[in-house]
Amino acid sequence: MGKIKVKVLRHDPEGKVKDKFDEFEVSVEEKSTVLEALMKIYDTRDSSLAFEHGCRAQNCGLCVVNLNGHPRYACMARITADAEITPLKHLPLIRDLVFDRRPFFSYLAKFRPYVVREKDPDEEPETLLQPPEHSKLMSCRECFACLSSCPTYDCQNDSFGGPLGFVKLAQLHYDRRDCLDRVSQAREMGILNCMDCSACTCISGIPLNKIVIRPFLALLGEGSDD
Amino acid sequence: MIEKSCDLLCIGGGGAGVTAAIVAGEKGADVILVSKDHIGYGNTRIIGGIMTYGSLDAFREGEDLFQDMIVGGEYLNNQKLCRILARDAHDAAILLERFGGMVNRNRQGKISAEVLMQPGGHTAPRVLVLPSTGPGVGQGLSQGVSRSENIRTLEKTIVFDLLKEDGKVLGAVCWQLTSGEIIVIKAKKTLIATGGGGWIYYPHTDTSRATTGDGFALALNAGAELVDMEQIQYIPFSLTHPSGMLGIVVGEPFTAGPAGILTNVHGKEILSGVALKTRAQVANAIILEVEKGNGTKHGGCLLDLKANKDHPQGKFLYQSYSEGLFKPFTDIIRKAYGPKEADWEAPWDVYPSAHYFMGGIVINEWGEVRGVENLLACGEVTGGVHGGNRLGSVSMTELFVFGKRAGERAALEITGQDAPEVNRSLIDFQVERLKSMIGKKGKCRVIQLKRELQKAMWEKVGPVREEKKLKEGLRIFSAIEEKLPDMTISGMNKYNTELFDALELRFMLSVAKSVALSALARKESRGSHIRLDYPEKDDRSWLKNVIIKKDPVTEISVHLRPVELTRLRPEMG
Repeated sequence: MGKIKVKVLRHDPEGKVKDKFDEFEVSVEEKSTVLEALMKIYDTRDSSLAFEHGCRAQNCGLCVVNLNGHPRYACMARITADAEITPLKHLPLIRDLVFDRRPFFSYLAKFRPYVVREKDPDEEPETLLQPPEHSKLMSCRECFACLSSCPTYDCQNDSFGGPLGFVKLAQLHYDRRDCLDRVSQAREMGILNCMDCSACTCISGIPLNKIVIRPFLALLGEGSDD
Repeated sequence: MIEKSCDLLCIGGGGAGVTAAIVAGEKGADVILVSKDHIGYGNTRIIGGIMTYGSLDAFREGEDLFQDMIVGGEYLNNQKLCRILARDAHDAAILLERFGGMVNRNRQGKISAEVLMQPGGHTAPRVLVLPSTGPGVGQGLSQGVSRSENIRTLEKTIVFDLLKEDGKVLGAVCWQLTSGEIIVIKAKKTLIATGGGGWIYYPHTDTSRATTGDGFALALNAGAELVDMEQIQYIPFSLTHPSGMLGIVVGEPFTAGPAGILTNVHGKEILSGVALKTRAQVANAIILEVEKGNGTKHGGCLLDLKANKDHPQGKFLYQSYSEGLFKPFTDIIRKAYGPKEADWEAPWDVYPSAHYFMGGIVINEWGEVRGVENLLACGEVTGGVHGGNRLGSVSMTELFVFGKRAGERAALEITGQDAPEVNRSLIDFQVERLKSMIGKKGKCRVIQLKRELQKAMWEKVGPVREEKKLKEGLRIFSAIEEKLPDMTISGMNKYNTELFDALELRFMLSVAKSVALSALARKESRGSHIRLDYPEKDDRSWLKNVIIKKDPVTEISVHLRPVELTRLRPEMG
């Protein structure tokens, strides 16, 4: 393929420079990925460029960026000429493409985001049935792309936890060991905002609307029939 | 600069460190958990989803598992540690579930014979599937940490060095990438659970970017011993191209199935019965065949799985690859090679890539580090459990079994102890050393040195070894070391990745030298260690562990120690 130009949005945490696009020329092959391009820029041109990555195999979810406006795992998305690489939306940025995950998890902590049991099992390993929704939801990459795709989520607004918040509650809702009322928690987290919306998407294939948003709304008496 | 103190400092946020932290917390210890990555990440986050459970019959005490580990490990294992792992294997599943994770069960919700699998090297079905793979384990661990009231966490925080005085470890000096803060942590006990060093072979690896071997170097500098560092597991079925996906794993010996065929570029089968072989046996067959000049243009061999599609026992694997546990591998194959390969209609071009460090810090049965007071270790950073080859799925069990033991031991010894007094000048000395790196001007770019080291590791200290290459590797590492004072490092405060890379590079150099020196010392081929100049296994001379040590005066030194064959010994002809 040869040399192409890509644009990367730069964000300076000290705020001395306003956010701006930097353009880089990188040499790529036919199947080169976005992550490969970012690493090439880092290795050969500018090692102040901040981005996260982990496994290069869409397992860890760390390398997610917006590619031409759509969230993608950088390790698997092909790079194309004139690609625009930006960070996920609606999240607090640290530098360039890296956002801060901690505020979300501090917010989540209020909902006791772990299995709360009525009593310990009599024997271990216990007899336990796992609904298919639970194993699907536990494969969430926690990549935050769903928050970027949500038109309502804003990291500064505590009244709405966003699709990732609802996923975290749904993991526990479908976990038969957990005894807390996760449905009420979903209301508290603002799921009623989702009644007329199904914009959020999961890039690792979890059907958010089908197994998270609609079931919670239905249990709150706000099903699609109302 | 921020100063903190605690009972137990856990370094490493993967399965081993988190388990130790939670267990110690439950026993009343005040824990600080430092993770270079996010908590619940590292290699634990990206595991394929299998965990050794052992026999359903607990009375058998895992004797068969123990034997398989030793035979598979080609007798280099520490048999005392293996005995514990085999006996306590059930605890791993139990702990994972207590934290919040979940293992697979049958339709009645029970762990039964029908749900157990048998990866290569295991002589019986004894392996559980983790239905949500690595992310499920990672989130299970995070749940456990959020539940605990005794754990404070520091993420994206790398340890610069341990604080050590009179042979005792008293905590560590750390630096946080996201904030740029220097954080000094004083601790009664310190535990290293930083995982392996697979990233030292990038891009020829399927491991996490975080695995730069930091803990090996920290322990070595503190006076610990490293055992059998030459034993690096290469996982046989990894991608040879395209460049961005090089090294990514797409299978396991047992996923070759009953009818899979492994051939060279000319179509000649190079190893039969692949599915029952250990990772080392399969990887070595591919490595040696390519070395003979019979590799593909991408330098691999060909894995043809097609015949499984019509085989009564092979169909199940095809299903797992199309819609089950191994579907992620299929997604990757499709992107890398194409739809025919993804549907098993065309063979895959495969070559081993660096997957796991079998060698590591010498510990006792309680995770205490030999020769250093107040220091513990668990997980991949330790050595001895796997010898010359790790059986698939055993590492997941190791994380929990030894994480628990180390956490319990640390907590036990903390009660009644006073907070450690750390000499002010010792702290100041370490902090100044760290500060002197920030904003340094020089002629070398850190990332280029890192890439030079990774390239040399693969080419000179990788799967194919001989004296000449290993010595060349050591010369390259020395040359890189000489350039360290001449690095340019950014002075920026938040998310200074150049400083992060520079801190990792120091560790990687120690690890590179340890691996190369151990590989040079072992003058035979055993386990995952192939010497072209010593192609045979030599039980008469080499039932020995290679030990790396560093004393304050000399550089790294190499020692040989006979393996303690306490229960099982090889038959010698």
